[in-house]
Formats: sequence, C-alpha cells, structure tokens
Amino acid sequence: MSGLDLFWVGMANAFSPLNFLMMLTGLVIGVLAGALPGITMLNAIVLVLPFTYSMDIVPSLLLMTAVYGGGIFGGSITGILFNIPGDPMNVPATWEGYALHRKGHVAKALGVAIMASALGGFLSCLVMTLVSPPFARVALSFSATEYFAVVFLGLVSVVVINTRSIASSLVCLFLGMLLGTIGIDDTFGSARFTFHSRLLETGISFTIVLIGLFAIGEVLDQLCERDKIPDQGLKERPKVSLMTPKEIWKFKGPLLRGFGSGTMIGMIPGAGATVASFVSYGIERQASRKPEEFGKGSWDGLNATSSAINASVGGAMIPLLTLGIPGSGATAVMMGAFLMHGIQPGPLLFDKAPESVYTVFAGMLLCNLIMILAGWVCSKFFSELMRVPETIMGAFIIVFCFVGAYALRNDTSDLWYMAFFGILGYFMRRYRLPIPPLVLGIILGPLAERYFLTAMIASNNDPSVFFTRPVSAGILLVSIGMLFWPLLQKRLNRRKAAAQPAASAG
Amino acid sequence: MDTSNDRAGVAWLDLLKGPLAIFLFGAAVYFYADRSIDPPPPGQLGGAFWPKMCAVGLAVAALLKAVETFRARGLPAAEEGAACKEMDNRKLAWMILLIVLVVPAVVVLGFAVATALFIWIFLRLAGARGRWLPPSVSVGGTIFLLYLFVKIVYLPLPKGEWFFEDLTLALYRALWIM
Repeated sequence: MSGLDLFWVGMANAFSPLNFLMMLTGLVIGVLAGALPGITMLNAIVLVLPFTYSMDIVPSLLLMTAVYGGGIFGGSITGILFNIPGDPMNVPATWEGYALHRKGHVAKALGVAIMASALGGFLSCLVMTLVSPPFARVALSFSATEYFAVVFLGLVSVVVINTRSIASSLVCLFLGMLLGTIGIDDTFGSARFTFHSRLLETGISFTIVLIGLFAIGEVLDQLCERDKIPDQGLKERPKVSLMTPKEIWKFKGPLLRGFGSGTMIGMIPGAGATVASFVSYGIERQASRKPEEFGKGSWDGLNATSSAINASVGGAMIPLLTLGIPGSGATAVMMGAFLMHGIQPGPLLFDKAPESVYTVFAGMLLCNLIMILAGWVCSKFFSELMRVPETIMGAFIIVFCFVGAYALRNDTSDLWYMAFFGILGYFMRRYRLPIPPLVLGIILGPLAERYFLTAMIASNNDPSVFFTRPVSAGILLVSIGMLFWPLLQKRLNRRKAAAQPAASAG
Repeated sequence: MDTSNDRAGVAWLDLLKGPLAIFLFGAAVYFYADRSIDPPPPGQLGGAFWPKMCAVGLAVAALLKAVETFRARGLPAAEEGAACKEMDNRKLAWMILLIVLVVPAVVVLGFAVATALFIWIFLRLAGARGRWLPPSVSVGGTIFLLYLFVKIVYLPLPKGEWFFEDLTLALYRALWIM
C-alpha cells in the first residue's frame, strides 16, 4: 500500500469509537492537568500509563499523545487568566497573554492561544506524516555542540524580551543561571552552594521558581495597592473568542514562524517544547512589525509561542517513531508504552505495523482539531473563576501554589522555596526588575551547562568545536546577531532621526 | 565649602549603589565558588567552571547597569515604565509574614488546619467584607481542596504532627475521604 492509502486507512481507524474516545479523554485530561499548577503534562502522561496496560497499542498511543498535546496547551489557560503558567513552556504565552488580559482582551487572548496551538500542532503533525524519516536522520547527527547552540539561542532571546534595559535583563539572567547551579552538579558530581544543607543539595525546581515569582508576587502586588477597594469579581460572564479565518490570515506570519521553529526544535532530542517556546518568542520579536509591544501584550508573540509549543509535539514524535529515540520526557514514557506492548519503535516499525503508525499520524492530526473544542470548553470553565472576587481568588491562588510546590516531590521543604520566590517576585516587580530573564536563566542555564561541558569533554576542551560544525556555527552566528541587533537598531534609528531634520531643513 | 559638589557625589553613589552591590556579590560568588567547589579532574573544566562563568557574567552585567544608570542620570525615570504603585506597606508586611508562617504551619498543624486558618486570615487582611464570608470560604474551600487533592488526585498532603495528625485523620474520616 502507498503512503496515501495507509493514511486513509489510519484515518478510518482513528474514527473508530474507542480510538476517538481515547483522543477526547486524553485531551480533556491533558488540558486540565496542564492548566493546574503542580500537575504537569508529564505527570498526566505517567498517570494515564497504567490505564493503557490492558489496551491495544494504537488507543494507548492516541490517549497519551492527546494528553501530551492537550497538556502542553493547557498551561497557557491559567497563564493568561491568572498569570500562573502551568509548565515552563507556557511562560512566554503567559507574558503576552496575561498582559493582553490586563488590557481587557482576555476572551480573544484565550481564543488565540487555542487556535494558534491547534494550528501549530496540526501543521507539525502534517510534517511528521510526510517527511519524518529524512528529518529524523538530520536530527540524529546532532551532538551536544548543536544542542548547546540551540539552548544558547534561547538564552540570547533575553535581549529581545526586554529592550528597555539590556543590563537589567542580563543581571537577572545571570542571577537565574547562578540559582540554577545550586545543588549537585550533573557532570562532575560536585556539591555547589549547598552549605551542607539537604534542602539545597537537591537543587531548586524551576517549576517552583516560576510559580512563586509569577503567581504569589502578582497576588501581593494586586492586593497591597494603597487605597484599592477589593473588587467583587467580574459581573459579566467572561467569554472565549476563537480566531476567525480572517484573523488567522492576518497572523499567518507569526503562526508559520512559530510552527517552523517549534517543529524543528521539537525534532532535536532533548530540546523540547520549553526551548521551542523561548526561541520562537525571540525569533518573533525580531521578525515582528511591532516589536515594542512585546512584554506589554503582543498578539504576534502570543500567536508564535502558542503555535510553537504544540508544533514541538509533532516534531518530538519524529525521532521516536522513525529512530526509536525519545526526544522528551513525554515521548520517553510513550516509548515505554511501545516496549510494554512488545514493539520496538524505529525504522522497522514502518514495515512491521504501518497501519498502526498511520493511525497514530491520523489520530494526532484529528487531536489538534478536537483540541479547539476541548480547549474552548476548559477555557470557559477556568474563565468562570474570573467572576470570583479578587481577595478570594488571591487566597486560593496562593494555596494552589503551595500545593503545586509540595506535589512535585512530596517534600515540605519545597514550600520554603515557594515562599522565598513568591516574596522575591513581589520585590522584583516593585523595583521594576524583569522577571522573565531570571526564569529563563534557571530553566535554560543548567541545560546550557550540561551541553557545553559534554561538548568540551568530547573535544578535549577545544572551544573551536562550536564554530567548526556547520549547524552549530550557523545557530551561534544567528544568536550573536540577535545579541547585537538591538544596539545596531538603536544606532540606525539615531542616524535616521539625525538625517530627518537635515532633510526637512534642506 | 562647595556643598553642591558633595551633594552631587552623594546622589551619584546613591544611584550606583545597586549595581555596585550586585558587582560585589558577583565577585564574592566567584571567589566562594573557586574555594568551596571540588577542584576539576586533570584536563577538565570541573564543577566550578559554570558558576564562576555566571558570576563573571553577573559582575560584568552589573558594570553595564552602572554605566547605563550613570548615562541616564538627570533624565526622567523612564527605564522600566511608570513610577512604582503606592503600596500599603503595613498590609504588605502582614501578608508576607503570613506567607512565611504558612510553611511551618503546614508541617506542624497539617494541610487542612493550616489552609483553613491561612484563608481566613488572608481574607481578613486583604479586606474581604462580610462577617460570615471569611469563615465560610475558609472552611468550604479547605473541604473542596481536601476532596480534590486527597480523594481524587491521591496526593498525600501533610497531616501535621502530634495531636494535629490525629485531628487531620479524624477530619478525613468524618468527610469520608479515607
């Protein structure tokens, strides 16, 4: 059978009642789990794994991929509504989505996040279906050098996040990277800044940092404003306004750029949705016609990053299905499901069980379309919470943050971190220090260190390795260009401004 | 005596004390990392390399910040947008104290009792009106959270110590949570 015939067989299989039910269930579980802080998408996939023991491989995979896609998107809902990103990959969507919410565009921001995520996911699944084998071969040639270059690109995006004060951003970025070094070092096993404390030896979970900095800081900021009368919640029912075809066309650029970067980065094993979200956000800031809106509520930024996170799902499935290499935590659990059913994912899978593979392809395409409905229903549910008065909402947000922190390791010592970062988040807001670079440093810093040290060990400490490999050199050059672009832009603007009066005088 | 020069000097220092403190912190971290972290294996960078690099980066960024602040002196404070909001510092101090105290309270009193107390006090501090609102929200909310996390998600929330552990277990039994 040709690929197209197999695809139609797969599509028919995906519509069978059990498979369809699994997709729907998985999406709802994923979106809800992603939206609740402390319950990550990966937790949800692990939680549904035992239910797949008695199932066939195809419904099991459809259930898990639906949880994966839904979970990646779900965190954007609470990010937009309450400034609480469900997972690190939802942080850029929170920056823009919450700012848009504060401007009164909550319904549209939710709608954009749903549609952009669904479109990015759908297009990346199309790519996965059509071109997985050749792309996977390219990704397989990547080493720690290329991974470092990609993470470096993510770190450089800090410059484009806050152009008002690059120095403040860099201070916060390096502080975040330093915080990320606390604990036992992965490569050499040395204890760093632990002061012989068990609490510090385990390191700081970035999930705690981001929940604390964003959510608790925001609650304190909102409720302690002088002369503010506590509000009674929204009187009207908040709506979710999906994008119209005209609006999709209007934002085709950010959507396609997000999809492209998300799919490419998703394919690189180990990079994942978090790196994809930050890199796509940085790229979009450079490409956008309204870069000044970034950080203050940019539709371009929200579209690009939402599209990228779900596009990374299709990308991450490519190395798993074609080479048997899991590219992320979620795909590693799926690989476990394959092995549990006695199937080894890899090139032979396409020969041995082509119908199953194409059913998964078709199912994932469908999942992204159904996600519009599941996302809309779940967003409506969470939007209802907006009607609760701010004081009550604030109390419950703080309790949820503490539960989320505790749930990560069932360790009460994490609550101290949560309290510390919550208060730090408030003071950073008060003294106008940018929070996103600090978060970026804690999330990407340890990844950058791991890849950098691995590449250096492999090359006998020769730093030229980063510039002698073409892909790594290309990405690093782009990063360096991005780093100096704001300075160059300032100069050009100054020259333009100086030339204008001269021209008008002439 | 030229007092205007002295005043200008003090204002300068005032502007630069933040970046200077960060620079000194970066330098201190560099030297601490150099001495406290295990030395690298022969021919390798070692565990101290990355933190030291971050500390250097932090110190350099602080210097950049100092230059930026110095160059922007005399200009209106436009850097990070509008001026700071006026905050009720007394309320803020109480809220921060409450957030810090909730951590040992969860360990000793258990999640159920600590959460109910936290919500009650938080609502009072935040200015929730009505006599019955804080107690009803705190009790109702805690029961909802217990059902959600203990009964549905099977999250073993802290039960407290001594008498409070028995109290939490009795509460779980009374609510048919276990």
